Amino acid sequence: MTPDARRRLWFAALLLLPFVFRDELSRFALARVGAFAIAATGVAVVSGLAGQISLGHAGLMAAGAFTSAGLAVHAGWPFAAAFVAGTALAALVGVAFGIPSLRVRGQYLALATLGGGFIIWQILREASSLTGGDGGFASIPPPSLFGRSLGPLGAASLAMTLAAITLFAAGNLERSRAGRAFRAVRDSEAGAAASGISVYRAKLGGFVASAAIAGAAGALFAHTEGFIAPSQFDPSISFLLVLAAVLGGLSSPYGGALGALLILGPSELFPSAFSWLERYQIIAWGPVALLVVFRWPDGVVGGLKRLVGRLRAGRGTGVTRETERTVAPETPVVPPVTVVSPGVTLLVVRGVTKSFGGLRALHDVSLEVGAGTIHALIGPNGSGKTTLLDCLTGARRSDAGEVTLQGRRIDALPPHEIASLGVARTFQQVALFGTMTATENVLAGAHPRLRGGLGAGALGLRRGDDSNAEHDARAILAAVGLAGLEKDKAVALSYGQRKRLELARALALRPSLLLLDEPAAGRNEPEILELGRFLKRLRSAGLTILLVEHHMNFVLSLADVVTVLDEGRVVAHGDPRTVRADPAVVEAYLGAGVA
Amino acid sequence: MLRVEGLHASYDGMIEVLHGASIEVHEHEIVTILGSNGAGKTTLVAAVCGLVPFVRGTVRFQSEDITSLPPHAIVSRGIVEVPTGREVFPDQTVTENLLLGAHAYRSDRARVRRNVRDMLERFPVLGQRKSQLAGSLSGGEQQILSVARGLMGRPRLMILDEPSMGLAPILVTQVFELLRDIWREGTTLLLVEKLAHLAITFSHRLYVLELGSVALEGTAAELAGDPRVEEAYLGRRAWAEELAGAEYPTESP
Repeated sequence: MTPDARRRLWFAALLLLPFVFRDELSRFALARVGAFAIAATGVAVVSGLAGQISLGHAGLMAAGAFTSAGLAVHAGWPFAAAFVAGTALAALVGVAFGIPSLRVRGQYLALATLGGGFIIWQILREASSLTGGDGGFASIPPPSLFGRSLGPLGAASLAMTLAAITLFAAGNLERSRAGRAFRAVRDSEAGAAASGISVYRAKLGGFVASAAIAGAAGALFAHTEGFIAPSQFDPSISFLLVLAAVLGGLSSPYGGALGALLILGPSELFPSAFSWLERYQIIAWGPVALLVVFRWPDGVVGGLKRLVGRLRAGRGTGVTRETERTVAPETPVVPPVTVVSPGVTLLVVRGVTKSFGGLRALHDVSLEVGAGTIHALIGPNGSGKTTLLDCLTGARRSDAGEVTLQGRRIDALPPHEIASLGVARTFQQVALFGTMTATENVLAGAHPRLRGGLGAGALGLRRGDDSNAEHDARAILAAVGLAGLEKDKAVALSYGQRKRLELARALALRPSLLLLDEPAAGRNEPEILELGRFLKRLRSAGLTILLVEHHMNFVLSLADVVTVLDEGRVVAHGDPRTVRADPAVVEAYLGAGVA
Repeated sequence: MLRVEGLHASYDGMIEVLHGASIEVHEHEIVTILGSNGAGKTTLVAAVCGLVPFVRGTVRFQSEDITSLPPHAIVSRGIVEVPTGREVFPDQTVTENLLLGAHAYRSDRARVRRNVRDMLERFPVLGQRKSQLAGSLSGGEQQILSVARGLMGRPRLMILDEPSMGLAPILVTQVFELLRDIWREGTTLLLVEKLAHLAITFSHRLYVLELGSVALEGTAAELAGDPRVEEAYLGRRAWAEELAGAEYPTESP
């Protein structure tokens, strides 16, 4: 059975649950658990998939619940319309929640979202003319479909159906282009931007999708309960949702729902056996979550996955030897690149200056890179080489000067737009997406060339595009010598393999200009030779390359032009032979040779 | 001094990176491990330092079994590793980073001060930036700082994982001159290095690691003349051809 078929079977099983619990109270309880499972999936999407911590999701749930309930009670809207409106308003509030994430990270973002949840909670309590204040709303009409109110069985079935749809969509999203962008931003913002992914859009998109899910959960909750009050959405509920997502496992889109089921299931569905649990809910589950996370850092889902993996391995060969996992040389196949007609000056840098505090990293740097050439940038450590690459790719904004690509000013553009224009780069300290597989890293590198946003991702559309792109990605991985490592996570690769993977990711963009920061680092001599030949083949295919490197044989055998930086200034420039013999270069950079 | 026997190592308990590697380092020796990408060099030295979770086999240091000791206990026995990848403390100044390297003899203030001054003089790149935060240094400068901090420890056995990586040629020379001085003062050195010609001129003995076990070992002279080493690691002839093709003078290694 394929994993996809297995997933569908699990979702179908959810729909049978309302028939397993036969009494009314249990069915209402099941609807309640379903609502929280959906809300926790919202947390899994933003905090797990997109890596943005949120401690305010009860507020988003409340936004959906009170909007839907208010429209139904005061304006007499039918359930479906009120539900949609509640979901939409929560998504809108999600934009406001997402804005701090563009400026702050980690614990500061956690505080900002915690504050957001508090504010919503307070508004609900104070705006009593609209929300009923602390007393809340009573007699909210039950969910109805086609004009017929749903009873306990219908409500529970609706909750389970919505939960199944949410999980299905979250699972689709994870593997889609939009989901890859989320995960890329989570793992490395610099790497994501260099791959043409808008960090800004990915973060806001994560918050909006998550808020819509939480809002839908809130609206469902309001109508199945029939009564809501602000106290049901106080900040402790936000913690409960985060707890569920962490316990279940942030690395999986299904972790939140599983966590919610584990936390709420016993006391809600088997009240006679577990009623004592309810009172100690947070106190009891805190230590359990701590223990689980300590033992299984990726939660119950991660732990189960590993357990299954070990059982399967136990039946098979046991420990895998790593023999077939080392890299192969680069293949003669050259991945496609964007060709600019030779003879044209592709990149012009004029008077670029950049200071950090009092330290001047770049001083009036000018250079030109001709299409179809390899241009090397060398110089002592700390002379500003990497800073220059950062200014060219938009990772840093220069203080003064101009950068033009094929006659177009690019120095004021954000990094992902520069990447989308065909400028790919690698980093000195690799900026890969650690938790993603090698193939996924390369696919993320092709982001600007692929299509499909959040909606398409959630619905599982454009799979065809993706499978073509995956085919291309495998070819690129083979070209850089990583065949056989397609399914390995980037974080599990050796340093040299990671450098290769980053090169593959950069090539996936089909660049016209490739910027490489110390591509030979982590390679031994024959591997450096291979790399040189590979880059020459790329040049023959029409690619323009600007590289920073210290390995002199590599630079001398490869470069058409060499520019030497020292203390942020261009001190020498010309063909490699002239530069190599320049006394100033020998003095400041090369030295007398290793004793 | 250091004896590693039949080492199997794995990071996750599932995929094994080393399959019974054995190496030996004698007192007052310079030993280098060569190998291609993913051969397990970094894993081998990390396992010696207690940084790999799943290990089988034994690691002995001066006849004591240190296989299952925690990393800090291994450091206190006199083994210091300078890892690859520039792990400096970014929010502390260059001088503070160096001081942290002197933790083992922190009560001997005069010695600490002398060694800090010595490092700042030896590496003008660091001397000029001694009050700057380490995080504001360039990649190569952080690499130098990480090496210098390790050297502050003046350990009995110093392990360096690719000290030359990302350094300008002139700095590579300086680092290796410093390593030789440290060795003269009585520190034994174990290196992982990709620049094979440098390693061969610098070391007494070398090991070649392939696919997680030792494929070759010998003295520098033995390995320098070995055609397998020439082809797989030195590539001198290949470079000469490559450069002749480009019509540029050969860089003497």
